[in-house]
Amino acid sequence: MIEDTLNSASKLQVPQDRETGVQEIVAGSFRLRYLYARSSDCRQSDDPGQDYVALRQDGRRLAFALCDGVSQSFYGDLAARLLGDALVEWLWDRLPPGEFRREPIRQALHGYLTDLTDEATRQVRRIPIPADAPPLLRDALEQKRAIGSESTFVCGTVEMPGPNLPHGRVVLAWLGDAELQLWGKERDRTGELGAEWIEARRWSTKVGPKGGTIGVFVGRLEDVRRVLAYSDGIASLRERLGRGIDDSELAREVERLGEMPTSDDVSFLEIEVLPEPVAATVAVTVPAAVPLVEPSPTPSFVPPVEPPPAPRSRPWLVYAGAGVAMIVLCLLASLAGGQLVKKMGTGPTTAPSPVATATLEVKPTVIVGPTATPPQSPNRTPTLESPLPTPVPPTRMPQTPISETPFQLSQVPPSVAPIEGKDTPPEEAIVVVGGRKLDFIENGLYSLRVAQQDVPASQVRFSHQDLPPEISPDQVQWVWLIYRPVPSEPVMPLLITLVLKDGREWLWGPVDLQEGQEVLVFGVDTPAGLCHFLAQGCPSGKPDVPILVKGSWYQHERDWKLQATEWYRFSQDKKVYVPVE
Amino acid sequence: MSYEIEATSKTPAFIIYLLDVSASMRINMGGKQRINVVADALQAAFQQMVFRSTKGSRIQPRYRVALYAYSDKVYDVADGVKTIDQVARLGVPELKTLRTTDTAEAFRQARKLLESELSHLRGCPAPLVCHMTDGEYTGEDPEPVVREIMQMTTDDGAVLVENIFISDKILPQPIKDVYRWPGVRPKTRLTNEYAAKLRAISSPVPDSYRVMMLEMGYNIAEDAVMLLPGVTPELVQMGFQMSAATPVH
Repeated sequence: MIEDTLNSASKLQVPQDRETGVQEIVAGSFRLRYLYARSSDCRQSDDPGQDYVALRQDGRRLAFALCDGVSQSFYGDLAARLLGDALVEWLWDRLPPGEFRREPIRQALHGYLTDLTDEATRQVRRIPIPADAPPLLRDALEQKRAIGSESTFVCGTVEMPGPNLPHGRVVLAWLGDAELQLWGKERDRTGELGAEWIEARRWSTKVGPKGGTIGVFVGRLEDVRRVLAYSDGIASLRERLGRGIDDSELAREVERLGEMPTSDDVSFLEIEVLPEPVAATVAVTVPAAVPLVEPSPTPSFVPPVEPPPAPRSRPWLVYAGAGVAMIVLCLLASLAGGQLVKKMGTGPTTAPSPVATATLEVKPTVIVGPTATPPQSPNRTPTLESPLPTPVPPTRMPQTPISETPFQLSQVPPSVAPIEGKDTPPEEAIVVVGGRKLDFIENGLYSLRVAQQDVPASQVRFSHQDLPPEISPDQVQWVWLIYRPVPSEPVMPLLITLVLKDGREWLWGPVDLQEGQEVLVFGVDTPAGLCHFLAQGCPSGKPDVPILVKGSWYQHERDWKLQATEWYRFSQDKKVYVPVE
Repeated sequence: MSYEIEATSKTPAFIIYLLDVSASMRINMGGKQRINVVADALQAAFQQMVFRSTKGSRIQPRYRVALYAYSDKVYDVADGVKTIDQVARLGVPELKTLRTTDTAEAFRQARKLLESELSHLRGCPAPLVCHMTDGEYTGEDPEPVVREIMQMTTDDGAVLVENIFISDKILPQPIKDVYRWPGVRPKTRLTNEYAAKLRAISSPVPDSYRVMMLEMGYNIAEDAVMLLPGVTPELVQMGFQMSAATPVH
């Protein structure tokens, strides 16, 4: 009976096409408070907001995502919605259980978000340009489509203590300038996240995570009382949000922000971990004391969707065994609309658990305008059932389908050429490439496709040790290769990292890079090339052209990064590298 | 404040274009008449504004534009100030060449428009007057009226004046790579007296504009002024891109 109840996981997707005033829900071990308000521009034109909030919980475990679509991208609301739903799904179903190390979680999430790009790009391609769009708008939209739809995000999961997780767990992840706060019983623990909220970091339907690495925090649930997530539209209130702000004041502030010229979409989610779970299954919706433009829509609570695997027993449940019929109460009131709604949810036919398991209602996401593509499950990479891949001896590798690559192969390969004023390429320079279609030629000899153009340098042949037995060739999705150029191939790698389809990265063989030593590095100005390794990102303006960077390598956690000090861009006319000032 | 106010639909940027359509604009430049190069560059600038103003599929009115063509008279080509969403609907107007170059009269029209608009621009980015010409004025010296315009101030700073001078006799050396070129600076050697005069009546590039230009891949120096030598179609386009580089929310 308990299992049945615990299976009744439920979802919340805050609609993007309207305002949702302050809502409060008590769900098992959690008290949730959230709101959503579109920018004044969106309200005026009745366009959807580009923030998105999604959540799933079962009373003892909760996963959430708050995304802020980038308005300068192609329909930022699309990326926000697609990403938000995908993040919640990943946190709920695929977050490595019991994992407390940041790096494996970061890598798994990075891989997942990279894999999402195929389906996301298909969705972006499917969106029609409005038939009545004038040519200037049509051109702008097509330019944006080429860039893709983009969104920043914060997300996380809170897991209450259980037999396999005696101290509980909180996992938080972020990319961009949406913000998180983590509060203990009496102190602000946000500093422990080590987070930077940087606008340029975001997820793109075209390339996946970009502009920097995904931030991850993992910790025990001890001394975690509140988690706050909010978009940049309300970030000016961060201190007051952290200290605690009541519903009416919050609603007033959001209304005030909406009247400012710089009004932006606002989304806010507060998760409070209750010292004791609510004995009865209660979900309460408290209206905003001051409605936002219009009365809030009825929050939607629906029967469970896709219940998680049923645990065999839950001996730690204090309230287990009590045979009280599950009641779902939704109280909704609106001061303006004067509506007060109570909603009775029917529990399972078997005796339910008294453990608080409020079922959040699911209001189908309303999509308007040209984004009316029904929400679809993102493309998912099959998850490995076993912790390690099945050992497969090195053999001729099957070609990796293009659709599975996490990066767009660069258009051109790096050019090993002199710097302006010199006759020969710099000695001791090295080359960084990313590639796919790793082919086994013969013992110890491989080739890698590193550019789309059909020129000889687009294929790099290298000599290397056998693949690790744990790695099956068809698991390899992308390869990072660093090598020293030689007059005739094969080259000898200085570093090879394999990106597997499950998101893990595998260092193949030893690393022969010198930390701290100044070096010149040839590559291509793209996230699928040298940009991937650059600590400060690539210079903007002319992407996908060969570049040369002077800098020094350093190791950040397990990653090798290049701190650049000088930049050169390849001049096709002169066939030399010219400095970028 | 110093040119930090972001353009929004409630506080839009205001740009006045003064375009010289004298007979010399028919001269060939990179395979096209100069007037057509300007029309293309203007189209690209409008496209940039539309790009920055579009959220979803809707163009937010984050820019307001006035478009004057001048020869011996000044013509209000856009028929009043238009928001960028209106410009997108109307398209770029056709430009036809006429005769002489009464630059001072064009700036007087700009001043008149600014005088009527300034009181409504509270909280908006500082307006910009983008003047494009290909030769010396034939009437009165425009400098006094331009200086008056540059004295007009808003919350965000003084009115900006940009000059795009289409000529091949401005710099002693050709610009090899516009993406590496630092712009015209106070000490840049100019080989044309009128270019030097235009530099004197060009505003310094505000830092916020410079940042936007850097994001577009240009490499404008900190002390550059808003004078663009329109030696090639690429540089003319760069000049018009600069006119639309108001920071946008």
